[in-house]
Amino acid sequence: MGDPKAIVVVHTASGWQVEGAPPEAEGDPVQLHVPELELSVTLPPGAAQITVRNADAPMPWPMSAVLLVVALLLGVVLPATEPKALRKDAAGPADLGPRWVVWPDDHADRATTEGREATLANPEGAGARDGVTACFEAGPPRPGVMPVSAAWSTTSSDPEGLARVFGKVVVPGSMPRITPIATTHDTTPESTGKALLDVPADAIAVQTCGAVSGPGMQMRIRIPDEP
Amino acid sequence: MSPEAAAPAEPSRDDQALLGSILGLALTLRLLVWWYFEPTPTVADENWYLQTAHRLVGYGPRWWFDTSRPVPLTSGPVVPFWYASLILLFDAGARGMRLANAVLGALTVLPVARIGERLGGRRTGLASALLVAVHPDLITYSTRLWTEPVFLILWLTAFALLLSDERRRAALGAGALLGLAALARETGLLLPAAAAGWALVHHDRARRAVRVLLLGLAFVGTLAPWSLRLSADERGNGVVSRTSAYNLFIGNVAGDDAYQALGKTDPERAAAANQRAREAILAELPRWPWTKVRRTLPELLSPETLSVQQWSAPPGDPIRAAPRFEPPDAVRAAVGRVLGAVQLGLTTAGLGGLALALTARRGRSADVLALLIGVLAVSYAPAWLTFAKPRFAVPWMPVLMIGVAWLLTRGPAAWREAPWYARVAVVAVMAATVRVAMLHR
Repeated sequence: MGDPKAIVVVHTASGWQVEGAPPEAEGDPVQLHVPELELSVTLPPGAAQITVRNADAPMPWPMSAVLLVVALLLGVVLPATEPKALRKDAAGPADLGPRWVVWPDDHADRATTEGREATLANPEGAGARDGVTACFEAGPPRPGVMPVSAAWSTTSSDPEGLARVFGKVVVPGSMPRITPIATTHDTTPESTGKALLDVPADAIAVQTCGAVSGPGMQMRIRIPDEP
Repeated sequence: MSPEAAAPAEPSRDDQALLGSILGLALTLRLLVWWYFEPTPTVADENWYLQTAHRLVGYGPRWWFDTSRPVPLTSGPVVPFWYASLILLFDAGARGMRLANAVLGALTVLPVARIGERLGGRRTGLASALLVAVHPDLITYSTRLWTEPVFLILWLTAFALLLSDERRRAALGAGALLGLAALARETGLLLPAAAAGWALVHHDRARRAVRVLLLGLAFVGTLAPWSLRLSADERGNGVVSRTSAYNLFIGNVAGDDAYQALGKTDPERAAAANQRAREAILAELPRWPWTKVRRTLPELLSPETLSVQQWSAPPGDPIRAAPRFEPPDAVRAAVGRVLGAVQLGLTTAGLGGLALALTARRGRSADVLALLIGVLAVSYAPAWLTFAKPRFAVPWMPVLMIGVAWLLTRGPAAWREAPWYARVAVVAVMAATVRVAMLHR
């Protein structure tokens, strides 16, 4: 090639730009640095001129119109729409009477419940680090300050075992609010404890919970009739 | 010579060095945050992943073949398996697992740089990587035990591979990675649909359709063994998990514990949750889809994200982080406000950048733009279509950072040549973003 009149013309979005000297010898690549295109172009032998046309072109107006309508709907109409309150009647369990809730489901066999008492036992050995939690719901939550209490005893055969007693307030759409009552790694004789829980108007459950985790921990927990 | 025939220039040594520096910055920031917040106890799902990983290690590999033993997972398996492998290899605890996630989080700058480069050139790619490196929420999620670090690296790498390698085996690899992403987080099931959009917006649709088909086959092939194992025991069927009823219920009307309170066993809870969610939805028809947008979009765009909540939550709130050195409450509140403003600014600029790219220009990067818009759509679709909650906006964040990077590097020229109606539309999108985000709480 080597035609001194060869030029490289690049049509970019911001106008015509020419950058890059003609090649010294045939087959030499013409290195362009056009930030908007990032092209490396080799002029074919014998070509006097090459035009690289940027295919970027303004979009037709419908795309702008669609975006504008969506923006108006979301920015103007949406804020004027009152969000429906959460349906509290659909939120809670069907029976709000006294009940135990145990999880995780595949460890439910580690807990037995009878009346207002539960016995939790976590086995020893590998795979027993995770445990089981049992929570007692006495009835529907009452907004304001609500006391909860429990009596419990623990036996432990491994210092890595852990037992916890706590109160819990369940509010839709936010993390459960936990109030600790007791935590132990050891064998504990019969103990009692209570907590005062702040219960907001949108709470759907107030629970008193016992949980064992880590190997070799057992707990008996009883929820008294009157907190 | 068509623009498509001209391949993007190979990254120069300078670019590689710059990207290496950005990777170093991303890793340094994440390690600092990991170290500073290391005393933070594990909360909510973090405990669940941790416990499930220990359970998997305890059961051992024979568990897979013993169908009398119920699958101990109620969500996708990839994240618990990731932590279980860290336990087996390094005897890692929560601290070590968070450290491993910090490394994964830093590595996301690499696929993001590639995708950004394909959208707007090398400067856009590098700017995208830099924004992801310093993004407060992406840093924060990198130092926790939730699904985000694993999910992000998987789907971002899949799409980076799809965009940068024309070979069919790259499409297969991308499909396998997307399959793993779906097994990490169920909403990933819709990501192949975004790849379909990428194929459609291209002059050589037939060739690309073949690649998307290969991607889909690899995707299904990756999911299949897990889905079959999930359905092999008596607890019911599922593609990725059995938590559909759970998501449906807590997404609309309740919280995690309320779901647990629905029954003693999973099938009992699922049946009750499905019935109650159906009742709630039927009661609000026919306005339900719009109501869902009203409920979910402000939450999705809200500046009150995890990094903000970690700093601003009141004492006693489980989401409040426990740093090594506790700053005064006034400082905590101020940091929270600054992070919220940064978050809102980035979201607005990201959507504005994508809107400008969408309205003002169409060219060799239109397919990449279609892919990114598709990712945003399929990430939001489950919250809208299945009536679940939007949960977290994390999958949006890298896409929005690419949008911000495009706005910074290509925006000025695009703005100059944009017709007036396109400019009006872009400004309207940005204003609507701020308005909707402020509706949250």
